[in-house]
Amino acid sequence: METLTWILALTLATLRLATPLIFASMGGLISERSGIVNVALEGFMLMGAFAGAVVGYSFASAWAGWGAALIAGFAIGALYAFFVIELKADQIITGMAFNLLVMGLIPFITKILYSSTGSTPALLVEDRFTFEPLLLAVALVAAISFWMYRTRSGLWVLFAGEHPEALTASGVSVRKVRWAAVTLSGGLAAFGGASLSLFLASSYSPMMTGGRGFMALAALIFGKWKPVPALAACILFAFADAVQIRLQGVQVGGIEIPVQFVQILPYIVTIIALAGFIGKSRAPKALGHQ
Amino acid sequence: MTAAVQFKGISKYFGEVRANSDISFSVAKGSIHAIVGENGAGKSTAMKILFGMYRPNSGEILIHGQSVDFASPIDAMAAKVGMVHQHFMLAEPYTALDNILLQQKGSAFALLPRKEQAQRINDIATRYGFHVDLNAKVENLSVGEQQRIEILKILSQDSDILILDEPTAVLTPQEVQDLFSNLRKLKAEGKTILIITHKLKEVMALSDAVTVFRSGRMVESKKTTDTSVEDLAALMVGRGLQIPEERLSSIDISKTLLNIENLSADLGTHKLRNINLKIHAREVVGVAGVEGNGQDVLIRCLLDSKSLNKGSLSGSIQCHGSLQAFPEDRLRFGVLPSRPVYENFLLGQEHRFTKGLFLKTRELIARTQEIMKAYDIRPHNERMAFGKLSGGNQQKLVVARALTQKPDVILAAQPTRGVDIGAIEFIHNEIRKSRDDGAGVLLISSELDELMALSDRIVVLYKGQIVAEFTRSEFNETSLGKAMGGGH
Repeated sequence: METLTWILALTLATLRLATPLIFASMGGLISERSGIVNVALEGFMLMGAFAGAVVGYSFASAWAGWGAALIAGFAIGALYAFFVIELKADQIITGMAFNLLVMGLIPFITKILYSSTGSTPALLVEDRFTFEPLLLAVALVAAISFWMYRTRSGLWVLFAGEHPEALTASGVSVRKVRWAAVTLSGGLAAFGGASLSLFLASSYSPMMTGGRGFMALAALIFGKWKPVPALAACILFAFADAVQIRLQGVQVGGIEIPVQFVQILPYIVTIIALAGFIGKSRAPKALGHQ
Repeated sequence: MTAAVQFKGISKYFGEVRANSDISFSVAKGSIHAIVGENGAGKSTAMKILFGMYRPNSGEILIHGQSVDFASPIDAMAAKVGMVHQHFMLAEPYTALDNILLQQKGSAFALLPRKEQAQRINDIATRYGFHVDLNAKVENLSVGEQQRIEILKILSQDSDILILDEPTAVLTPQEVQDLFSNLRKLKAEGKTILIITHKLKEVMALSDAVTVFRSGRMVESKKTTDTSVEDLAALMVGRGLQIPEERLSSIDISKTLLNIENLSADLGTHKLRNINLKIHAREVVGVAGVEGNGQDVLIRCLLDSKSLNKGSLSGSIQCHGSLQAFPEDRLRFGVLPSRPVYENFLLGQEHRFTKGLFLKTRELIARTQEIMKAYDIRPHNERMAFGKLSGGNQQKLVVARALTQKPDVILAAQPTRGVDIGAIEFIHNEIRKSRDDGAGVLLISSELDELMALSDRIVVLYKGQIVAEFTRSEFNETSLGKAMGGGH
């Protein structure tokens, strides 16, 4: 009985922890499938977590925060699109610059809003999400796989990343398709951030993403840029995270494992997954080309 | 009868460069019209103008008597003009069907009408003979099938003017025959076909009329029956071409330069089985065969046998003397396209231009200039990025680099692929000169004309084996073609 409860708890924790990863990796997937490298997911997530927490707290409503996260995500996604599509800036460098930008921007705004450079005030426990983002995340994966492989605009995104000249020759603007994909990517990654600050926690705390943007990127590469395999990869990484939390304070032969060692588990799983089991992963052909 | 297409005084400039000047000719409806000319003669530019990819600086184009002004290929497609590009516009991981559907208009979030369209496209394919498995991924289809997808793209839009840019460059002789018979069917249905090519035999075999381009100008446009290969060749290059040599054998049988014995190798999909081949001094041995029948394995074995797994390689290769190669895909294996010409000339002969740790740059540049002059590589600018040279000039440099080192054995893989007639003639002559100086040449080519023009002996590779061998007096297109297809 105790084992069963333990397994159930672990499963639920896994799914909760997977939620931010799923949103972010679906965001990254759309961007990368359209041909734009996205290492800015971490920054997009932080932006969403922060905007969601601030607005959610102000209106005492998680949904208000959720909407704000989407808007903030679209905004930063569009800004990223402007740099990499219009100005043709290097995608990796711009992505990293966006991560740094957000890390600096948020403490600056919290200083103005709350005279602190750290966390935002917390939502009441009854105001925050209980399960909604998890359902939305799963529904999102289903919607994206359907849309991407079955509709005309889905085909446009696929061709933008694989053979942009063919798309141009068909009379569709690669530029517009990529703008839409990258902007949407910002919104989805921001949902991932907001599920951290409105679902897993009830406020924004500095650097609360803890590398999850990169883990989401790893998940989508591990999932070969395909929605359902990427979802599975997110769940795997989240499972490692859930196990890690359970293992904190566990004693082996009377000696407690230092918590730092336990905490690196999800990152090690990520590295092993990418280095060891990736097999023949094939990136969209035009990914990162300008 | 109004012409399907009429060019009226079309000119196009790219900066200072005059790509087309005052081009005028017309194409009869329901005909196959060949556009010939050397690389850079302006034929592709003219066709791209017709397809709306470029806008002319002056002049006008009439389609079925109506003046048109295409701002983009979309406009051209709306006017039922379609083009098959030399480099296919197909995304490899997706199906033939999806690649065709991409062309069709429709609202962004509408479901793709895969089922109905598959039916419709299959009907079109059957009607004209362009059958292809629509549900197969492009990466699993042959080049010939990929070309059919491109043609189906156009036909599924009901286009009635088709432009084909060098459609036979990538096809096997059999595929060329199929394509031509299908094009004739299209013509019979009233479609108008413009075909860019520089293979004059094809022009004679297929077209009703032919227009010749030379350095940006239209020099002649007439009925195919009123002309001949020699006539067209002279018009294209602006002078008479030399007649292929009638060579007396001067092969030095006593001196074997390359000796391949019982060579078997396995490169996964491509294999070689039990190859025995000797090349003597002053001898050119041609290797014929449809691509993918082991030529690439043979090249790997000769140039880079260390990279092959020990277990997958058996037999022996003895090379007496130095070996130089013209790689099949020069841009991937032979050069650094973004670096200047002189640095590319240096590759592989660094020892000749170094002193201790340092490069003798001045000497290198002087030598490069000399070579560029001798081989007439234009523009005469050794500092230009190699990739900016035209295909013919690129290949000339690759050939020059190999031959000036006076190798004993020359491995020439597709030495004139994508190269214009003038340069082909030049490269062939250089190969002949090296041969006369005592070199042995292994010539791997998919061009029968080339093999027959140069070789003393031709072996045919089929599924990794040598299935036939012909001496100069024995080979002809029929016998070679048969052997390449696996029959004897």
